[in-house]
Amino acid sequence: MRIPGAGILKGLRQTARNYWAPKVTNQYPESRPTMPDRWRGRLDLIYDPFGEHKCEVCFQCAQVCPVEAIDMSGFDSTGRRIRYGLPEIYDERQDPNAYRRAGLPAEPMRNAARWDQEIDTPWLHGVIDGFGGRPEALVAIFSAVEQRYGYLPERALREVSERMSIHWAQIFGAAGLGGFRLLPADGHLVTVCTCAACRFAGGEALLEALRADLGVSPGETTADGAISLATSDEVAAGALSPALRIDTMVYGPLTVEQGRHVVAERRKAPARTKAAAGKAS
Amino acid sequence: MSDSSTGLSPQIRILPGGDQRLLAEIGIVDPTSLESYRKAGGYAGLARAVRKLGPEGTIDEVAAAGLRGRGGGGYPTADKWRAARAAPGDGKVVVANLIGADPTALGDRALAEGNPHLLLEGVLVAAFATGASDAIIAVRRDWTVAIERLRAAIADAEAAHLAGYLVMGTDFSCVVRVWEGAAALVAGEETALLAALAGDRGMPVIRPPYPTERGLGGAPTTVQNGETLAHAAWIARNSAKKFRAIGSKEAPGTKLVSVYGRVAEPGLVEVALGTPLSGILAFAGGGTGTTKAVFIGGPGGGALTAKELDTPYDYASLHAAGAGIGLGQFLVADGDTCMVDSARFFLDYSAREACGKAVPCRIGTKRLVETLDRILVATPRPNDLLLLRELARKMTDTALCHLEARAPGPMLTTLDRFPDEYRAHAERGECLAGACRTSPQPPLLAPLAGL
Repeated sequence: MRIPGAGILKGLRQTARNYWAPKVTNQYPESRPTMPDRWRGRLDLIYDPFGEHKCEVCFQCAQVCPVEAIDMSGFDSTGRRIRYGLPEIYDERQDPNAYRRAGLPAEPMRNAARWDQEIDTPWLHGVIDGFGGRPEALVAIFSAVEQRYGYLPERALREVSERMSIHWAQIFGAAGLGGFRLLPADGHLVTVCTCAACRFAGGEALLEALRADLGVSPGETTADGAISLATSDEVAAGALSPALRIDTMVYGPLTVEQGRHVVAERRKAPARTKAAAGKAS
Repeated sequence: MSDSSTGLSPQIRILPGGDQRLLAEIGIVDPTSLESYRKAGGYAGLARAVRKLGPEGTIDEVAAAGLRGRGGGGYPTADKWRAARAAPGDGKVVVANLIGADPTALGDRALAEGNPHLLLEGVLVAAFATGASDAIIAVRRDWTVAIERLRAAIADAEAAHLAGYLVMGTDFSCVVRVWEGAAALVAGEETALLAALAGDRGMPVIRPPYPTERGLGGAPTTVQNGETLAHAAWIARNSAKKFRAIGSKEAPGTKLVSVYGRVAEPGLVEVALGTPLSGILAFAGGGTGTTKAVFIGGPGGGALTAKELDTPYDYASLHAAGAGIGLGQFLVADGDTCMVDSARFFLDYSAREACGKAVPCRIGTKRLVETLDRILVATPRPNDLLLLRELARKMTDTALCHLEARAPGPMLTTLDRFPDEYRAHAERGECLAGACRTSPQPPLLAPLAGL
């Protein structure tokens, strides 16, 4: 049975109840709630259901932050460690937790940080000044550093940032794109080309064979430290496809047998060590 | 490390045959000698533009030739130049895009290594037509031979008053320099290239404003593919009428095509636009094995079946077929190549090379790869095939740059043309090409309980 006006009374009852109830809105700057001393709020990066960060470490947020408050490190979409180094980085504390929450074993940090590469600072200053310190020369400077050290050591990037007075977020952001190695490789670096030309010409079989021979996956180093296996789209083999690159030398076109032979031969030759790379000029 | 007969890196092999226009002088002209290039008629085009045609006349000539961008977009070059010329502002810039975004497209590299002066002439013609006083040739950093030769070419040309200040005794000045760029797919996108030129991470920005209105340092900037500029130099030298002599009516001229994959003679060939695909295949010595499909346009293109090989190679026909001209990539797949796995390969490449700026691209490509992975190992979810199309459409609709908009292309075209392969993989765990591992594998991780 419907009573006229019952709905209005029902609504007004709710109004009246809230009218007399204590107010929960704080007049924030004038009156403040009491919080525990150590409370800093809770930050959380977003994870997908597999426990992987959704953050791609693209440095966009750090680049636009006006007070340069954001620091980050992590793995980009290719699994490369970006901004390696300092032990107390936010996502590293969170990463194992994310794995646990997803029901996965908390795996040890991939590519354990090696950030102690000494760099030849006067040489680097010379390179930077040679380009007139213009920001457009960043890629060329990175190329020079990579040619000397085989990768971009973090200290070198820091030094570039200081010398050129460019916020490091911009430096690391630019270094994260463009096929630069951000970690040193032990022993000879064998890079199998994964560009479309190589793949269609049979490059996958080559990679599979090397993977079986060396017993490692791309991104890993053999137990004796002689060979690091990697893949790249940037070998730019073209007519040499399928190709692979050992250190800086491109070999191709290769059959699977030839590829295995080339790698086995190079394995015997002594590799340039990290210490030697640092000294060479 | 260069081949003695042509002076090119061993990665580049120029196939005989085709309609050689830009490639004709490679191997004849000494790339390190200005004299040699001038003897072959070089810089006559620049002289004609500067002394006879004038800026407007040069643009009209390029318009009459019907030259369209060879970097994949196919935008009429004359329209772009006109917009840049009309845009208000000082210090206009011409950027030659030789980033060669996809490493399998070697046309620009061949030009830069084999005939750097032709490229430089094209840059100068474009700078003269658009009223630019600065020009930058952006080259991939690993093309060391090309960088070295372009730098030498610029120095020689400046010494001969063909570049730099007061070109050929006129009041036209243009300072050209070479810039080394990152070796990344996205770095070839024009707005990303401009960001990288300013020292930022190479990421595209939203358009408009187009670079022709506001580009490098706020100045009107003409970003043009290297091959397009070489064509412009050719037009300035030989006239628009001769340019139209070959090629189709809507798209005259030639295009450098990199033919790779299952062919007898992989390499670079220059063909008239409108040449049937089978003709291009024939220049590369034909396919090895039975040709099943050709992937045209690389990661942003699409696949055509062997039955469609009489399709003419031009912008409109390929676009209608769901593919694209791209940077001239032409990959041949034979009967042993699985189409599902190939689609996954191209998407995976796009996912790896994504700069991370646009969410539909960064996440979307990843989800597409995961979905294809599920199909490949015969553990699909019920609506996976629908999901592929849905997601692809959304990515295209919301794309920030053309790389993203076209990233699903190889997957969509193979899905249309080889539905049997997808279905066999998804339903029976069988690879019709016999190339993939298809044993059903447990998923990486069961979806979390209680969600």
